[in-house]
Amino acid sequence: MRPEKKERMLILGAGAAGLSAADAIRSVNPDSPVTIVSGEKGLPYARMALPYYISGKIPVKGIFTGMRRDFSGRKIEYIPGDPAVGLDTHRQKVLLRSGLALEYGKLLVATGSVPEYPDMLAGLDAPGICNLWTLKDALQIKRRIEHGGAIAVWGAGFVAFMAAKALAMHGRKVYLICRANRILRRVLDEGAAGLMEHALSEKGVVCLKDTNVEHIGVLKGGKKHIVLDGGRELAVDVLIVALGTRPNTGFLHETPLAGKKGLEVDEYLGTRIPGIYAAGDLALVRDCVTGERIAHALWSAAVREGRGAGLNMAGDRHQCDLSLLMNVIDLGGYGAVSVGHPLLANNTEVYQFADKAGKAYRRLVFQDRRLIGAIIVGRCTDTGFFPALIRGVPELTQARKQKILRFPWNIAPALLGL
Amino acid sequence: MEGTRVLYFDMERCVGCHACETACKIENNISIGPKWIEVVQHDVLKDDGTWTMKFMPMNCRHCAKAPCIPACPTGAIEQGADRVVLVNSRLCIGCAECLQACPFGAPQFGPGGLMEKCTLCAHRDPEAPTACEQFCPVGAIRSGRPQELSSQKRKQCLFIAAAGVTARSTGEA
Ligand SMILES: Cc1cc2nc3c(=O)[nH]c(=O)nc-3n(C[C@H](O)[C@H](O)[C@H](O)COP(=O)(O)OP(=O)(O)OC[C@H]3O[C@@H](n4cnc5c(N)ncnc54)[C@H](O)[C@@H]3O)c2cc1C
Repeated sequence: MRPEKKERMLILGAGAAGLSAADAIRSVNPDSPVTIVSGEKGLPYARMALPYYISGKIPVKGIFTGMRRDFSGRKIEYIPGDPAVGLDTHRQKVLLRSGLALEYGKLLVATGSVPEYPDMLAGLDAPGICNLWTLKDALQIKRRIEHGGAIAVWGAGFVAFMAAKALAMHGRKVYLICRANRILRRVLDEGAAGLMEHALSEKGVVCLKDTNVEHIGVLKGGKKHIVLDGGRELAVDVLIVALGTRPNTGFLHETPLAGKKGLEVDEYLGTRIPGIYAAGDLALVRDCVTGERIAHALWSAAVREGRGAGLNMAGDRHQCDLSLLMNVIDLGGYGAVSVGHPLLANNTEVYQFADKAGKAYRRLVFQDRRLIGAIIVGRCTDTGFFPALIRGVPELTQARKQKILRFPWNIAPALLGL
Repeated sequence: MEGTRVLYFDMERCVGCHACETACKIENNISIGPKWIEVVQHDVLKDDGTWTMKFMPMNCRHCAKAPCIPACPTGAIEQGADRVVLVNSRLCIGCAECLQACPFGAPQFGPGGLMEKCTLCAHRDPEAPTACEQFCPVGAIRSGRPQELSSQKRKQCLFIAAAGVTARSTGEA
């Protein structure tokens, strides 16, 4: 039976990238043996929908609907709750925690990323201090704040913002502890961040900027006691740690694949070992603006890369790098979008626009005649045209660039006929 | 395909009056901001060196292999047998993943922050015209079934909703 097992397409990870890869394989190859391994128990779910389950926007089934797959009907073996712990690239085998060893012909590593957990919290095994990354985290948070309570979110990046928003929308008191002088500093400039901070405060979120955590303890009764630099103290029911993530590659440490920043891949998403592919949060894919290989850690990138990797595992040659950075944040109809590289500072021309009411704002950034990034706040109806413009148009004519700058609030006309 | 409903735009006829936008807004009770259909002006240089104006409606094309569907993390976007792509607001979280996948910039976000877009007037009788078709003064928009149009007409219409689009949006033939 050995040769048959060597045909197996093994997918590690049942997230956005892993499932998208399985769909792609099945779309061209209805019969080849496909196995998906998930580190978590239960059915696959959408990580990014978790905040909306907490806020009550969607029912719990809503985090599963988009990830529901007919595994048995499509002859896909699904092994949940048994994370990969080792990889033997010579024997082409993956070892799972249960002791099960799976042989493969082609392997996709799509185990995503893991959230950072600061050393300060080591040994402090207190219920109510957690990340917002897994379904388990979300269930815990939801249960603890069901009847009220205050929450601190440590961090001010994307996931921190989502957590703060979800809890504020749920009517809870939220403190956002932000080390920098503004929230979302990697994707928003000061103007845009200021508008979003104001919108957050209207929802009851207190943004504590230029602030760090000095000490965390647990009070009698279970409340978390947080001492901030500057002496301020908070007592909260839940502390959500959202200080960024790193690629989930721990189990690869004995292979030549492991890298600190992620897994290097070529334009076909193959790693340096033939037959092994990577996609999603841990894949270092070329950025469509800078050409640099980075892990974008975005849902859209994971779906795209998963699909490309799946097709290539099934024998195709599908070029699939060039990922676009895009973050969309929304506070119930008032939102901000950051697309491409709006904060890049070398050889760039920056144009900023604001409306009279001070609610809408735009930053458009060009490198010569190429639009390389934009921040859009408030008036976002033409957002859908930016990805194509930034990703696909290496050079605008002078006339088109002028048109964009003359009518910066709707770029659709500038895009037509390209 | 039996039952398939699509929208046809005749670019030669459109005069850019935006009546379809207004009709759509009123019919679907759309708030300020989002536009489910937007007619965009496009200046084209003619062979003789003069310029002419063309208009193109930007709205959901109800693509055959709609890229927004696999992009949606909560499975909120569905396509019926009539090929009409609809969003289920109960499951939508307003994350804009669909917007990143859509080659036409069609998904819009309303006051609640949820995705909304053209439904091909799904609330109307399937045999009735869509509001944009009904109010277009020059007959540039037609909804219906592909087989109802002559091949001549099909060639003339630049955008045949659904067909044609798939190739571009997924990058495959
Ligand atoms: C709260 C939150 C909100 C977010 N919001 C957005 C957003 O609005 N927009 C956006 O673009 N992105 C968002 N993201 C990020 C987005 O969810 C990720 O970029 C995306 O899920 C990455 O997909 P992936 O397939 O690479 O990894 P994941 O979806 O994380 O899937 C990884 C899979 O690997 C499995 N696994 C882990 N370790 C192992 C192992 N050792 N062996 C086998 N399987 C393993 C896991 O169980 C899981 O099934 C958000 C993330 C979070 C947590």
